[in-house]
Amino acid sequence: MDIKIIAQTIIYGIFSGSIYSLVAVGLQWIFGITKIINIAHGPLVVIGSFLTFWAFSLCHLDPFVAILPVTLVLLLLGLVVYCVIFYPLKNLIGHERVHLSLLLAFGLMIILQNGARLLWSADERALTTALTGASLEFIGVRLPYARLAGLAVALLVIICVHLLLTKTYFGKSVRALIDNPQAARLVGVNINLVHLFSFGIGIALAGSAGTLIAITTSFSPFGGMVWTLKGLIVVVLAGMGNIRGVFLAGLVLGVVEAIGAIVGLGAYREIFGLITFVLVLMFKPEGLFVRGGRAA
Amino acid sequence: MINNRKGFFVTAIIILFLALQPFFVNRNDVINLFIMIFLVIALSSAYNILGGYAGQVNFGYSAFFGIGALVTNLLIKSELPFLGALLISGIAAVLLGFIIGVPCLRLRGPYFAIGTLALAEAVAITVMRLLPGTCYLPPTYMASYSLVSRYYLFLALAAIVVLIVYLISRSKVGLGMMCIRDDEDAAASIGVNIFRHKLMALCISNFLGGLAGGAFAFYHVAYYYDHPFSIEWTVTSMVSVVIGGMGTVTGPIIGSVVFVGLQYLFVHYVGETQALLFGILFIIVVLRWPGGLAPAASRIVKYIDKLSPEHVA
Repeated sequence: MDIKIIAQTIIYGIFSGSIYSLVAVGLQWIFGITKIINIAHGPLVVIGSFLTFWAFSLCHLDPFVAILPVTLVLLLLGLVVYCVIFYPLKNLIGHERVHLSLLLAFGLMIILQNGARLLWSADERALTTALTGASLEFIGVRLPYARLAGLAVALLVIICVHLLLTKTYFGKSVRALIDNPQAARLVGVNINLVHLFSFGIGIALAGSAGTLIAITTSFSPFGGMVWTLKGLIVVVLAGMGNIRGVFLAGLVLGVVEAIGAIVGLGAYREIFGLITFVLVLMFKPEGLFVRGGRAA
Repeated sequence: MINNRKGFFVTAIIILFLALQPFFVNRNDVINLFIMIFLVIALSSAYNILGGYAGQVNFGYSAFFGIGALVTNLLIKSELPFLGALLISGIAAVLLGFIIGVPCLRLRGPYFAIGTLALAEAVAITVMRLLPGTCYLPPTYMASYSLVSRYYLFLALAAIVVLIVYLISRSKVGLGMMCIRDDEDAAASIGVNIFRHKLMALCISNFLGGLAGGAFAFYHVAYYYDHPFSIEWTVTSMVSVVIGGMGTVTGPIIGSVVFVGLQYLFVHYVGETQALLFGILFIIVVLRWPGGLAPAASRIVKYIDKLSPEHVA
């Protein structure tokens, strides 16, 4: 097979993988801190895409500029959702918390999907930006500007998350909470507040992912669960609760799917994710990118 | 509720009434509504075995329902007798469950919920890509189509599933499942084989879910191949179980009647927002009445019991 085609495929795998990473970072962040598995993450990503669509069609904002207001709106939405739905679980721990939050997130998913359909109709949509169609030619490999910019934004957002976690006071209390909730509470970390803002930030990440999806591919109200699925697979590849491994794991999933497509099994793309998921659970259930067993 | 003679009589009378019902009511819409209720009762009761008794959240239930429908449809098209096809579709659903069940149920934590979601989405999308068209009942079945025979099929299915759930809830295996749900460590320490119990719950639940799918393929004349795989079947089952009460025999029955009834009303009066309302209702029930409607119903039954003459005298 032509080496150029292989290179092109892998590049495209990395492009879609970077978006998977961004979706998964939000999921991982929320799970790692609040122990909520946000099944509704994908539908929230789609809400982000549709808000970008509104910003574009109603306010004539360029999607790359719209990323900021959309992220802010979803941050607020996340705070509201946490207060209304997940805050009542604040005193539960362990299995019961995970179980009930799964059910609640499932209810949220029903509401968001159908709400999005009522607001924006069930049509599949896509945006045309100033960058759409143009591409850079680099030793025979085509690199569309929109995709390149998407990769850059995804990387930037993930670096921001990393800095937030390691360099700020808030990040310090988050790490304390992940290490030992009891001890964190003893030294004066307000657990409820950290949970609230972590959830909000996680949803804001879903918003930024939604904007990038609006720029690079198409979206529809019921397409959200596919993003939840990709995100969850990446989360399991990275190791549940391990925020740092997510970026690499996302790229792995993107490249695996892309390779599946050139082998001629494009119709079975989702099955590849599933097989990767099952194999990782069977042979390395703690995740591919966990160093020294401690996840942060 | 059905553990005494009175309960047995009430159940027998309800079933007799339902069995005679087609002779009195000659309206197809009513029969269709009842078929829908029986289907949802069968689906949600089967879901309840794994979700309610063993405490494992199965987000991929639609995949097992869908594979049941798909296998039955393909087999009766190749002229296998319907009952044989139905049985094989149940087995197919069990085998599909192994793909996710064996790796995920060994692990602690939410892996099973994630795995089933991944399985359902992957299977649904793949079926949509590979079989994009509409699927029909074979011509011989169409020529001899009668709604009443479907009615009895679904009545029998619902009754069998409910009976199996009842037997499980009174058995040692069922006790083991509930034990795992309440506290895995405690269950393991008194010698409950956690993996085997979870896997057994998954197999029974999937088998019955697959049967329901097969019956669906026998009932619906034409539908898109991917329709039974759509997540709305998981939504239907989970909403019914949670509204009715998880881990109870009567819960899914009450939940299904309420769900199908409300859906019937909502579709007429509020139109498109109905699914949204179910989402809100679902969240309210999970937060406010985690036991669902079944405890309230059994309180009413006890109240009526107190009013009955033998107690008054």
